[in-house]
Amino acid sequence: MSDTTAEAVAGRGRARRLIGSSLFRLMLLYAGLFSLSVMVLFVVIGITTDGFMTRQIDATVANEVAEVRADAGGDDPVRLRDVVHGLVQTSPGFYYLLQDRTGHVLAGNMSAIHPTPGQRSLERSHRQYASARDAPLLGDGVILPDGSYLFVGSSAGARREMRLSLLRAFAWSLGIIVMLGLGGGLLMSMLVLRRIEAISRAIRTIMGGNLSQRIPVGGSDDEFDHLSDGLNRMLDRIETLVGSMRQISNDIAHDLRTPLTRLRQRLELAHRDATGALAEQLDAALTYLDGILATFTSLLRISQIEARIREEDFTDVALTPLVQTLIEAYGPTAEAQQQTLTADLRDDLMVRGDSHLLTQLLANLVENALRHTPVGSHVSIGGTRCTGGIVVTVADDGPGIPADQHDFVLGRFARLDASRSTPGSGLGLSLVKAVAGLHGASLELMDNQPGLLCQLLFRKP
Amino acid sequence: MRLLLIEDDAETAAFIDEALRGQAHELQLAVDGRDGLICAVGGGWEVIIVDRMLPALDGLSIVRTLRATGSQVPVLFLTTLDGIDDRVEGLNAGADDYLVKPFAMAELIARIAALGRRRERTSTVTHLRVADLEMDLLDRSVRRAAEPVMLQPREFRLLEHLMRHEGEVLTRTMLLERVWDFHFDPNTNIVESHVSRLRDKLGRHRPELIHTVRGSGYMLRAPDRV
Repeated sequence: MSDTTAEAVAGRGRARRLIGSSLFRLMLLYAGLFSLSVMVLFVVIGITTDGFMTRQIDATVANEVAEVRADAGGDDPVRLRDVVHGLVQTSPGFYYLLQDRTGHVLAGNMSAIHPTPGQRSLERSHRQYASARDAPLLGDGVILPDGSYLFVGSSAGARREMRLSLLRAFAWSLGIIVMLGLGGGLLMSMLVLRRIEAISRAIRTIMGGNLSQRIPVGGSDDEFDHLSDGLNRMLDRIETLVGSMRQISNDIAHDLRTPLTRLRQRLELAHRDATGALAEQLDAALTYLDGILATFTSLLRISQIEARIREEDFTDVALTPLVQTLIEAYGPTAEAQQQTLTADLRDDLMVRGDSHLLTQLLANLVENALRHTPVGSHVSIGGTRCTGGIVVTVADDGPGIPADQHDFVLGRFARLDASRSTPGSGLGLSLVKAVAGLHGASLELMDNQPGLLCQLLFRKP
Repeated sequence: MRLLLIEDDAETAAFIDEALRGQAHELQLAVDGRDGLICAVGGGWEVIIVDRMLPALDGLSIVRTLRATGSQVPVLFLTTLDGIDDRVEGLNAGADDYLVKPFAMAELIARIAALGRRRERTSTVTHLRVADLEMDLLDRSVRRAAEPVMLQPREFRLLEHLMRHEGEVLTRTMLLERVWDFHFDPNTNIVESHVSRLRDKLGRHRPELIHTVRGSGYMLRAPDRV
């Protein structure tokens, strides 16, 4: 892959992370809600102003009708015609109409309309020289005693213009709000994400084994600094615990192993010079001591593995040769016990880990299976790839373990009553669990119908 | 063999001293790290045995310093440190072998012997022969009294190891480490069952070549040298 495409991919990844971030989604939601409230605000303003303007026009035209009638000094059609005639020339803002009972226009600058009394709105323009772009007319009409109809109207153009400018203002505001919301959201997400990523990066390094690393603190005493500070204090604690764990292991190693060493040496010296029954007793004592040492070593080792988070020594371990070694190592033992041991796994399985510990893990499972199954049993090691990662299984067709005891046998020194008579410390599966944990693998015991199936799932990193 | 033991625990040192003198080894003792390093650099040793936790200067530093001077003398760590990383750390520092205390004296003696002879052997051998047993490392074939013996890969490796160390005791742990690369103590007698198979394949009716050394391990040697 070339550098530029790699950069492009990295850039796309960053953009995807940014847009996928919870903060960005929150900002989007916030911008949406804010736009909605602006919309509500504009609608309320629009309705209020519109009503106000409508009322004002209505009042003006009602007033004008009254004035026309007053000017005419009554409802005499001839006088009214003259007044209207005069007003058409002198009052350009108004539209007048006087028509007789047959609908014939007597005076005014409008065409005839249906004589309806009271306030009315004329969507279609009835004025002379009307054009299609004209605003509707708002007006007031009266039916005079002789049946003729007087109407005074005013253009609602001002109202329409106000509506338009409100709409324009609203569109602009909405646009700006959405832009600001998105831009601000992106910017804030970017800033916050950068700090969160700095924390994640530091945590990844620490999980990689560098326990002395700390999360950077910005110094602005904000919630991120508080978070980092809290995490750092937690890390201090973990480091102390792991440190004291190592110290304890070393202390035990030194203070307990040294006297045990001397004890073993004395027993060995005594054994060399002893004969007969005493030699036998000393031989047994040495065997017991070695048994104690083995248990002690296993316990210490499990604790060490559990306390370990270093992955820097991990390598890519090919499972096939590892399993092949185990089959070859335990094959003769299985054969001697009239059991069969086989492997069936894909040959390209790789696990990131410590090959010695993985060998011991699988060896423990195989030993367990061979030890707890009768003559004629079959033990098989399997390995395959699944969507979650790599699955490795060790299965037998022996008596198995009751389902309600599965969790119990994974504990330390756990031994089922049925297996008390067979050798073993009860630490084998604890070690398996610890090693699996170190490798981020899950260990599950299942019913093989019949027998026991131990399944390890090495999750994809 | 001329051996140097750097060990601060007097009782362990006395135990080793006594046992090794019985094996006709010449042993000098250094009781702290600084003395130990001075003696080690002084030279003339065939094998150096070093404790890891020592007063004045720790075992790892001794070995690193020694290797920095260009010394190739075989070094065995004899230590109470049995952590999962301790062994690797010790070998990385330049040690050739690693033995954890408490140990069986037979194990220490066998490992010292193996280390002492390591330099004498050339790794370019293509053909091994012990009595009427022959191994061709190029076509990976084995013959006993001119009759071919069919071996599994791991059995071949075990036999090769025994033949290369003809006349030396190889302990169970040494074989587990070197033939199977197992650095833990399995609860199954892997070595025993493999040796038993190997004996079967080499012919039970013929003179025994692989001998069990009681309390120690196994040794391959020609029957007429008994």
